[in-house]
Amino acid sequence: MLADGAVALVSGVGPGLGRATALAFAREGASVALAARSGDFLDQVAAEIDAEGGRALAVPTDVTDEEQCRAAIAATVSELGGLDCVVNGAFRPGAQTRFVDADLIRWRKTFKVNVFGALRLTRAAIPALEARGGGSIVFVGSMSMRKARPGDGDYAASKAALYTAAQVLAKELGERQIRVNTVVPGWIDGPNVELYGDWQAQERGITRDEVRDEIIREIPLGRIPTPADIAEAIVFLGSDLARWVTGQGLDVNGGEYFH
Amino acid sequence: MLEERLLDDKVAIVSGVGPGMGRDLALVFARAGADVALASRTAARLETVAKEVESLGRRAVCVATDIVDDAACRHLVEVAEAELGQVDILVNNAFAEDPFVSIEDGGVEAWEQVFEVNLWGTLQLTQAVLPAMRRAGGGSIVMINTLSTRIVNPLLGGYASSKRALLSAAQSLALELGIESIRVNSIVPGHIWGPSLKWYFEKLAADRGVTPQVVYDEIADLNCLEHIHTSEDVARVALFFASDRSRAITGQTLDVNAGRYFH
Repeated sequence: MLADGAVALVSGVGPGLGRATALAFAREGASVALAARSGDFLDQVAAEIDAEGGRALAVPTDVTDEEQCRAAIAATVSELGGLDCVVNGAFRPGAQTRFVDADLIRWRKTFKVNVFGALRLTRAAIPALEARGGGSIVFVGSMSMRKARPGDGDYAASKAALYTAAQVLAKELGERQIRVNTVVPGWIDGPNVELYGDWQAQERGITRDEVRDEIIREIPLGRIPTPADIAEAIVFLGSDLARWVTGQGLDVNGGEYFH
Repeated sequence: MLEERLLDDKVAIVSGVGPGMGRDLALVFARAGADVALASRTAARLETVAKEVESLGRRAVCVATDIVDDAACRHLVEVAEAELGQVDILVNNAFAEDPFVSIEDGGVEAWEQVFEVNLWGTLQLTQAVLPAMRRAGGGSIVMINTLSTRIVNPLLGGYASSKRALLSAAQSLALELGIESIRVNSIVPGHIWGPSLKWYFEKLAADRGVTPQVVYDEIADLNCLEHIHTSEDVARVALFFASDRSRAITGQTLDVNAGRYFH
């Protein structure tokens, strides 16, 4: 088991990648603190982990609120005994507006969660990681920072800013044996693929399945990665297998594009 | 054990098995549950590692192989498949060192020799393994690349450019082979602590009249984590790429360098 005895905190636990990451850590032997704004869903995931014989703690948290970040870390340490790994999965979708029409106040909101929220939670976690003699922080990037698409400006730029921040943190926290890396997912199978499919289908007068086939044609491995696929890379970077990996980005996209 | 069961029922071919990285790859993979075919030019070295693999309860076969020899590459794969049942994983770890000669001073011929092993030899072995991987329903190919592609030094041009070419070739292979569920990824290690680096640091220290520890600390301080890791640490990252845990990852490159530089 890659995370036996470890404690991981996952932010942004919704039905997709966050849940998959929490379950993956639990299956590898970690106790998992589940953070998101909505407590109801956290309880559901906690129950799933309990049912599999794991240990989970729901810590409803808005990562844009410094106090709540500190409280989430404090609860994790007191209930689960410490903290070894932080996964910053919380995000706010982009405005999906072209720059010429963009409301920069809305763009700031994207950054408020995706960059400053992740950094607030990370900062709150540093003392707890340090108390264990080191640890691992994982950020979640986005394919939009690798393949620019019109309308993705705020989201792509927020994730790119976070990617660079992760490298600076790797430099700053390395001497404390805290590693900082980014997993960059490509397409993740689920509602986003469906939404994109519906939108493209409507725009172009083709079917949702045809849109899906177009996506798959661009992926050498011939399928759209699932949340569970992405979660494996996050757990790897959180584990001691990646003990000497820091400041790096790992793309999980079925080979759609290379970094 | 951390790597327990990640490669249960898998068979791996590791090239360039000597006392360093190749041996670590074989042992980390064996501990994870794989049987291992060991390849290098020197058969005697292989026997030692094979005994270590067997003492971990896994099977090993030794096949003296010069990867520059196409027939030898095909023979290696045949033996691995016949003796161990299938081939799921290939780690291309064999390499030729740089002749340390500038382009101007006869470098072109010297570079060609390095390319012969690092690029053509590696591609030849990779080509030889594909039919076996298809029969196994897919596979994972891991290329061990080099720090020299990231930090370019004078007189290391042949080595660096051969490995850089391999980095690109790995991405083309990923595109071509993905549909057959054969994945191709590269690992770029930073400095690796071991006998060669120890020797090099002692030489630098003697030249400057300081202790080897001074040199070690200077280089280690360039890494965020202030440490120089071993080839076993790199082998554990190779384990991730070899295993199904990385099933959605292909054509990628991961630097394992304790934070020396970022990619």
